[in-house]
Amino acid sequence: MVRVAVAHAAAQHIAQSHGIEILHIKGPALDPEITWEGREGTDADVLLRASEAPAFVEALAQSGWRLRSRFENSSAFEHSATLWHDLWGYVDVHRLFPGIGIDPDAAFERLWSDHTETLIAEVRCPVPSLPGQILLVLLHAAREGGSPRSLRDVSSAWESATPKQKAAVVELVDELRASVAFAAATGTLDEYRDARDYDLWAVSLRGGTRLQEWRARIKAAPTRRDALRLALRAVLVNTDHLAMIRGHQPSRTEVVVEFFARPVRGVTETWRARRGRQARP
Amino acid sequence: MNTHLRRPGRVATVPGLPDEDGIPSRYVALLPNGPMIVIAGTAALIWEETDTGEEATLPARVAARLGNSVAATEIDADVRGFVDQLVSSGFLERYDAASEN
Repeated sequence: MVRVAVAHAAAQHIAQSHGIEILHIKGPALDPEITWEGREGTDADVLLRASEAPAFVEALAQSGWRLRSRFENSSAFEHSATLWHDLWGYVDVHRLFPGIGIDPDAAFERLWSDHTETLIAEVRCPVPSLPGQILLVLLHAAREGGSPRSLRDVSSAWESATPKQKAAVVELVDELRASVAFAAATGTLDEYRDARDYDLWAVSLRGGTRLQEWRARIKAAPTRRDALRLALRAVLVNTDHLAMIRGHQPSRTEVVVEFFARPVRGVTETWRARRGRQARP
Repeated sequence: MNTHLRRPGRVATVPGLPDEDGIPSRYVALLPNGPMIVIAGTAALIWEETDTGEEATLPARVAARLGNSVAATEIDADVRGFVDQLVSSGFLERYDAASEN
């Protein structure tokens, strides 16, 4: 917890000295009212304008942080870059927040417009308003596939919220066009079966094979061009993820081996999923 | 001159666990790149008292926190030496309260 708190403070210091506005999200940035005792994070999460993300990553790199995972390799949503500092550990830089449908910079402006501040490691850190924090907790929980931790997050942030707070969150959901992910978090996803990103949230929430995830990503792409780009990327190897698993940058041979292993894993997962369905009475 | 001490903007601090005397330790980090130190025991008491008044009266305030079981004059050199270390390492800075009001 000490390290995560100081990582937030360090990120804030760097952002401020480079004139970049960031919002601290999750972990120690959360209002105690919407989190629960004993919930501990392993990294410091910050959100900023997508247009300023490359400059901020560069600023962090100048202060001793090393890039561990690029935006493109973070998740099905390509939302964050992960950096490591030998003293402060991990920071996750979010250029967008999965589940929010409007333009990422416009979403940041909206969240920034009514932000407040909290002290983290005695450094003043900007954080979203309380409804903004509740919404981000819910959207994050929707991605965690109904894990015990995410269920508890939903319970603390949403079920314990007052009617007035809930109304403010719902208003924000509309403004940010976050209805599908919000529904995934609050148990009403099936009301959005016709939505373009329904499959993506269904896979995030209920699990699925790699193949299903890629299909859902392509279906959720806002334009045909994005869909094509994703379809082409689906066959590439995530070298950042591979480096984390192996503990070193993968060699050419390992990339080649992984290139062949991935489709096999995708097939195996699909096969297992089908076999599981058939075995069920 | 009315010299006070304060934590510079580039210093982050997080409370740590208490020692056997019940005095909470404190992690103090220099941003953005370190180092981070842990201040424990009576050193943590001195840290807590640094920004509560004039630097000149700091040994007396620390002595009071120790229940006046020691005299301010007895700990004066140690307290000042510790504060000088913190200032020279960048964890604290001196300022003239009169000129900032």
